[in-house]
Amino acid sequence: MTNGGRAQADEPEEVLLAAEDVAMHFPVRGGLLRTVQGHVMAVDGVSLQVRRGETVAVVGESGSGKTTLARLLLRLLDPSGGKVFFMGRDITTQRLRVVREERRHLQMVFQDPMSSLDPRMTIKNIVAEPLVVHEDRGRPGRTIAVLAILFVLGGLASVGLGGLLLLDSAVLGPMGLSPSVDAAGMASVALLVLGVLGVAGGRGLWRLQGWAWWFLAGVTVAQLVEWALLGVWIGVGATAFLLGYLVLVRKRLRSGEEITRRVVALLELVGLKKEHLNRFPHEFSGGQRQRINIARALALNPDVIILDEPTSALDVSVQAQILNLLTELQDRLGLTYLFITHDLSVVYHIADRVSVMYAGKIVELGDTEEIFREPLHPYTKALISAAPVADPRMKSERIVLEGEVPSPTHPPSGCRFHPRCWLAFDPCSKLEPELFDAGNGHRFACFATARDRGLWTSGTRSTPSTEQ
Amino acid sequence: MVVEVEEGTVVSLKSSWRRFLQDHASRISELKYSLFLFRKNRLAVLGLGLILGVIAIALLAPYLAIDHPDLAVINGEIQQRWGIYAGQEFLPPSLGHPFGTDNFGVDWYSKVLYGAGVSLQVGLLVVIPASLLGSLLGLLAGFRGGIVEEIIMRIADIFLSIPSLILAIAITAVLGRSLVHVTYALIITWWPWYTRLVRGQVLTIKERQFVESAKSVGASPSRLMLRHIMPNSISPVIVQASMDFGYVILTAAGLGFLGLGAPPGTAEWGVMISEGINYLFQAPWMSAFPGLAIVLAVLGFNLIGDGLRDILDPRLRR
Amino acid sequence: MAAPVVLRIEGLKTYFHTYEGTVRALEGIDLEIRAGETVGLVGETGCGKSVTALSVLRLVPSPPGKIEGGRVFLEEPEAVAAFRNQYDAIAFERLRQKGVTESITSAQVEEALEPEVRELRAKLATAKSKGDEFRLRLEAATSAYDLLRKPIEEMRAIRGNKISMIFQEPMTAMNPVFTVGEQIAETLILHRKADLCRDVLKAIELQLNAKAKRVRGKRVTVREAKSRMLSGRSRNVLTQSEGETYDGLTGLNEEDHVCTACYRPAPPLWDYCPSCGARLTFDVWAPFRGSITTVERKLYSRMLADKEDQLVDFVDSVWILRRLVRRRLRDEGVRRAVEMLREVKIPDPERLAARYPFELSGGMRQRAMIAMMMACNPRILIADEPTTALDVTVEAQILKIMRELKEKTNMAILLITHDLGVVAEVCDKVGVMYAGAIAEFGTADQVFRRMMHPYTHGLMQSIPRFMAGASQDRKKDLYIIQGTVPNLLHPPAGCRFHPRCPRALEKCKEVVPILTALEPGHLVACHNPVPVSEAIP
Repeated sequence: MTNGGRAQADEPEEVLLAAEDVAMHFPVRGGLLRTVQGHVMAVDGVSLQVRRGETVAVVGESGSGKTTLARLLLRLLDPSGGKVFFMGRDITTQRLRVVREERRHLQMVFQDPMSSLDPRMTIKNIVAEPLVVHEDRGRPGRTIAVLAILFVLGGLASVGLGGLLLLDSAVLGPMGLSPSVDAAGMASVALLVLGVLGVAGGRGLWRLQGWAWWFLAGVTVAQLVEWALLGVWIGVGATAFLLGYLVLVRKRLRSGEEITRRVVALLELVGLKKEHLNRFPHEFSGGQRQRINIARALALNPDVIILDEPTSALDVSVQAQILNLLTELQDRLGLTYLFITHDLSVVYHIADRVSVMYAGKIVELGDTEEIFREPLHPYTKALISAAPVADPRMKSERIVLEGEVPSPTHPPSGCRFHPRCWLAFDPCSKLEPELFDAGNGHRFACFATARDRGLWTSGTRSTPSTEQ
Repeated sequence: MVVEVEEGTVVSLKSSWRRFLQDHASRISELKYSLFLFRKNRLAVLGLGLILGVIAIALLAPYLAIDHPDLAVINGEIQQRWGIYAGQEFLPPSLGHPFGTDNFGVDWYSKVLYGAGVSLQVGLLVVIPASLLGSLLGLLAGFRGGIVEEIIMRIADIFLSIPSLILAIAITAVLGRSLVHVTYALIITWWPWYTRLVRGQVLTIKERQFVESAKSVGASPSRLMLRHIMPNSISPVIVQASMDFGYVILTAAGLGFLGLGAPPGTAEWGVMISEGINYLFQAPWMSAFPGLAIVLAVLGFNLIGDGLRDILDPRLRR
Repeated sequence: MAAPVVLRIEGLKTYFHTYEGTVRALEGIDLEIRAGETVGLVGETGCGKSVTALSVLRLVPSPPGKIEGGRVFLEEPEAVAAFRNQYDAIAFERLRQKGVTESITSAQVEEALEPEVRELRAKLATAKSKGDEFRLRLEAATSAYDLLRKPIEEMRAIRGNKISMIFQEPMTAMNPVFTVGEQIAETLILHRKADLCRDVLKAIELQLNAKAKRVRGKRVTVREAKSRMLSGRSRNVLTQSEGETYDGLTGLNEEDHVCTACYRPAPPLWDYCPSCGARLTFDVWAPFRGSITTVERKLYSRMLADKEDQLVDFVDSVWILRRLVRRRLRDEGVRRAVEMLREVKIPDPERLAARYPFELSGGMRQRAMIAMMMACNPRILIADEPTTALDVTVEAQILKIMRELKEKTNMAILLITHDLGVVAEVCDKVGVMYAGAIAEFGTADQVFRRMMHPYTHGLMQSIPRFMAGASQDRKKDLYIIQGTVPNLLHPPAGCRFHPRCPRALEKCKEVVPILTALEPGHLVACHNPVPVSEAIP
């Protein structure tokens, strides 16, 4: 029995992110009628908790399901079973709109710095995107829509009137105003077009530099005066509305500038410079791109950041820089990390707790030091043993596993590791081990080790333990 | 007044221009690199030259031609009326008449010049709507998937199987013979190509990590479609559209040759070739020169399309 | 003494001429690899390690890239090397007087030694008894073993044959439309045609015999074969020989195939049983089979006798008849490929040989690549990031295989990677590259524990440490080398590392340091190397 997101009485830290028995079975469709022929069990009953301020690492190889787990926690995928909790709230079945709101607090840094940035967007737009998406559009949006509609109507009217007036030059000749009516007519059309653009949320206009805004404002005022002189009151009304619209756009312009300012602050936070704002991703190195990713993840002041192999594609020295940056940011901003990786040296360096995944299940979890000191699951032992260490003295006998990671569509029966396990004995191919408790938050799922430690005897069904 | 002044807002034009250049420095240097690549490709430059030539001819026809048509509005449409010059029929090419004259004595060179405008017009009127419509539908189909995709793609398949010729005949039979009706037919038969093209691209781009990344930030589907997927899938459309200009001109000329489209007597290359067939042995220049013009125009567009494909391919850059 | 030198790189210089300028990817690389050694080449992205490998094989993409200078000697005999040292001294002196000092090409050397070369050629033409020495001297003077001056056809004969390369992404390195077996066979067809012809002729003999004796067979699964043998009886009533055959069957997988004529394994890769020669599949050309086979035999004997045989070429060029030439070569190639796959410990190699690359997992693909590259027993294997794309456990398997193969064949390995852990595991000697030049070279022990170049020192310090006992370092800031990798369009003057080097001197900004041996076998290119006392324990 698990107790999901409710904080335990003896643990004062708040649980920010929790997965309870989460599963993801992708249906495999085939045949003429696209019937479901099987399932890819990418994640199969995983329970995990992440507390505020800590760094939890999820370790596993390809096919272990760790990337899928990350996406499930982020609700980029809908789990086929189990529950996901965020800040105590069950977000498993929430509508996407609600989830999008939640995403302000939970962000992700993706794996490949090369392909996780849109090659056609500038850095400014990329980092600003979360801000733009979550901008409070509410009231001004609707007002602008109303204004824009009125303005369009007014604009049409004034263009029509302008056209009529053009024909009736007798009226204008004595006033010497005909050329300006021409100009007024054309300006109306221009404003009309801009108004339509403005309907699209003001996106077009927010990039106007100051002088362009002044030009528009000036033309509008001139237009207003002219219509007033001509007695074309509809035109006066239209331009008055337009002026109001421009003022509101001004406000949005300011927010555009605000956003830019915040983007610059974020870039500087991750060690980049203001000059980089308008460059494209391909002009940057891998490490810099990863910093951009981090900057974007920080844009909305999240509480938890999930990092999916953030340093795997990077060189050693760049990796060091990024790891330092991440630790610094964690201290400074009080972040919580869920770190997904296959590099055990990084895990050792940066993680408080580790959970090891194999073929969609968690096979061991606990404190970092303890797991490295005394790995209890054979897979963990093999992983630690196989990880290359940069010291030629340590060429001790490596445990080299035979075989391959099992196919997710047909996982082995019983313990999924048993075909490759040198400790496997009879029950391993029949029963699936649950997580046994070795004390101090250290849990593992292996019959052999459990038997050796007196936690399990063959013949008894394995007892489910409280998850941590 | 209600208007407020923002502190530090730059008002002067000159510094605004400089700031604009700075802000877009990357884009500008990318553009320069593209131009460099284009310049390196001799054939593409040749294509560009041909096309610019055709455009220039189309724009300057009234100034370069010897004979000029009258424009009359018939059946709500502007049509050309060329005069009849008795005594000057079937003159072979000479200094006074570089491409000779036809059976009405009209200077053929002038007609070819005016034909350029007509062909370009047809090209524009077909390619732009077809590519826009097709791309949008392809974007929707690729992004949404599921039943929407099925419906759109099946409809596209249906339209793909309609031959433009038959459709053009049908439309002409119902609505009457006119170039505009031919453009309708061509748009209808052309848009599915773009849908297929774009859908394929979208399916690939959709899986790229930056799309997922934008989704995780909370971007709405329409934002994903318009801001992320579309700009990245557009380069094959540009290449295809530029080559399609040529093919549309060719098809329209073919239809004109068959008697659909522009009324007889119009300066449209296909129509002109068709008229020339009757007099092939007396005045071979009547069919030859419009045909040559078509070849050059289509060639030009093809070369440009090729050149663009090379420039836009991200793997060939750098 | 020491093992013979398989590959010696001297002053290799490769530049890329791009739109933005000239990228100086390699600026004078010196490297030496001996038989049976595993040499690791480490460095970060952009330091030029892959370019080095490509330059050796002359696979650098040629419009932007160009090998500007240097020499690469493959399997140069000791005697020639000794002579060459003498001649080089003379040549370098002469060239220095002309102002040419670095990355000297063999063409330049030969030009500088013109009088000597002419004399040697004259002496070689006339002398009879001492001709050998003159020949060796001539080879030395003309740098005959330099790969960079060989014509392209010779390079093709060397690639895949004497020098093999495996790449990082086995998926993209293998052709997706051919099966694994076929691809390995292709290497063999290219380089071992004579051997394959012999195999083909043997197979033809076998099949002609079988046909003559009217041996008929079918391909059945082991299960079926067993029930056939028994045909209702039990095991005990079988005769001696039948019993033996039956027992032979029990060792096999039930799903595998055997030939009913001889009850030996017959995987579905071939039409004929490899053991007894019986035809196992339906023969469309049955009436003509005899004459076809006779023609084939003639063709292959001619191919064996003369590679450029006209008849063979003719048949090869006619599309329909080409199968006569290609099919059997490919079959024999696949047979050998299966052997190679077995060598790399692939379970069930027959089945894998019939699979396509996309059906395999990463580890399997990489093993298949290794099998492909080992097919011709190369003298040196260049492995460019072979395990970077693989999981840790699979990586351990691959490294083990490579080690075993190396021991078996005494092959040299040049392992290019950025993973220092892998290098420490597997390599005897290590070369550290930075920005197109070798910064340090020595045994694994020397480089990892007694490093002298500040860059190596910095690298080692910035790796998160793994070992229990390093727990106090956890969560502390890692050491970072200041600055970033230089842009190779405008590399720094003098030592390329000096802007980032905590030990930089004035001299470092102007003078390029030369690789010198500061310890026996330990070469460092630095004006101010790290003293031994500061080494990391």
